[in-house]
Amino acid sequence: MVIVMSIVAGNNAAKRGRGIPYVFYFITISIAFGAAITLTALILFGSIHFRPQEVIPVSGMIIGNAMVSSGLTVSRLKDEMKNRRHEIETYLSLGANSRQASQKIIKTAIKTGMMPTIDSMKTLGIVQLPGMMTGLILGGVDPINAVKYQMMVTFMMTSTTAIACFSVALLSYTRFFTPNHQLI
Amino acid sequence: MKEIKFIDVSFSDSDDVILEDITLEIYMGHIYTIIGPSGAGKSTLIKLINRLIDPTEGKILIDGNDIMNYDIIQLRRKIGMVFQQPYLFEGTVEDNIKYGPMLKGKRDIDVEYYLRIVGLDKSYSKKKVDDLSGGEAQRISIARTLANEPEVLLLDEPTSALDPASTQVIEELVMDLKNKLNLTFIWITHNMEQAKRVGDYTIFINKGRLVEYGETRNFFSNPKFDVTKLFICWIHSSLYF
Repeated sequence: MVIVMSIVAGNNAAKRGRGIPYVFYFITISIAFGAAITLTALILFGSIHFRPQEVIPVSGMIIGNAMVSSGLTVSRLKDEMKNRRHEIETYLSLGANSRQASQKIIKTAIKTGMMPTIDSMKTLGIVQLPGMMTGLILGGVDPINAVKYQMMVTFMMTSTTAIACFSVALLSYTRFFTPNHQLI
Repeated sequence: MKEIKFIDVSFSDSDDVILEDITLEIYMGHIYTIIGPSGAGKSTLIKLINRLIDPTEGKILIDGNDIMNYDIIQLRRKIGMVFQQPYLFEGTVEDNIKYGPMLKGKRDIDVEYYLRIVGLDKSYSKKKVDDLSGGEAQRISIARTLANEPEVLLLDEPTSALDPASTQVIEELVMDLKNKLNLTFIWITHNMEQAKRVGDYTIFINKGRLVEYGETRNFFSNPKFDVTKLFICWIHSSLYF
C-alpha cells in the first residue's frame, strides 16, 4: 500500500518536473526513501506499531507532504537551471565539476521545496491548529498528549520532506549535464 | 602548450548546423581576434576550445593530442574564459579570486598579486562585488581567471558592455598580459578598430564557416575574399550611417 501511495504521489509530482529525464523515477524513489526511513524510525522507537491501521494513515500524511515538496523542488530546479546558465558556465569554465557548478541552485531548490513545511512548523499551535491535534482534543484526549502527538507528526513530516527534497535534487541535477561536466 | 588545431570541426545543435568544417591553427603567445556577424558561430567556436561543448564532427588537437584525451577540469583551468557580462560570485573580490585555486585545494593565494596584475589596488580585496563598476567587474573577472594560472584566455566580447575608457583599460591590460606572462588570447569582438588595435591575427567567421584568417595588418589592408571585403565595408559604412 505504501509503495502504491509512493507511485501515485511520484506520478503527480513529476508533472512539475516535466522535461527532466527520469524525473518520475527520481521523485518516486525519493518519496519512498524518505517515507521508509521515517516509518522505520517511528516503528523502532515505538511511536507507532507495525499495524495497517497505524502505518497507512501515517504514510498517507508523510507521503502527501513529501509529494508537494518534491514537486516544488524539481520545478524550482528546472527554472533555475534554465535561467542561470551563464552562472553555471562561469563556474564550469573556472574548473568546477557539475555538482560544484550547480551547488547554489541545488540549495535554492531544496529550500523552496521545504518552505511550506518549515513555515507551517514555525507557526504550529499559534496560527495553525492542525486537524490531528484538534481531533484528539475534541475526542477527549488530554491536550498535552494531543500536542505531543501533533509534534511527532510534524517532525515526521519534516523528516520525510527533507529526505525527499535532498534526494530528488541530488538525483535530478545530474540530468542537466553530460558525463563531461557540460551543460545540456 | 604550443598549439591548438581544429581539423574539419563541425558543431550542430538539433537540426541546425552552427559550425561547419573549421580548420584552423592557433599558436601560443599571440592575440587572435575573431570577427563576424551575429549568429556566425564565434562563441560556439571558443566554447569548443574549453569543452563547454564538444564538436559533432572533426577533431581538436592540443600539441598533437586529441582534446578529448585531456582531463576536462584540468583543461578548463589551462584554458580560461571571460564572458561579455562578468558573473561575479556573491561576496567579496577576494572570495572570487580565491575560488578557482580553492577548487584545487589551494587556500593561500596572493590575492593582491592578481589585483596588481589587472591594475587594481589591494584595497579592492575586501570590496563587495555589488560595489564595483562594469570595468572593475570585468577586471576582477580576468583576475579570477588568471588565479587558475591558465595558458590561454578565451574572451567573449569582454568590452562590448563597457564605456570607451574602460574598454581601453581592458585592451591595454590584455596586451600587457600577453607580453609579461606570455599568455595567448582568443578575443571575440564586433569592433573592427579593436581587432586592428589588439589582434596579432584575425579570424573571420561567417554563417558557421571559417572564411579567412591571417595576420591582422594584412587581413584588413588586403583581404583575400570578397565576403571578407564586403563585411569590412559594411561595418565601416554602418559606423557612418
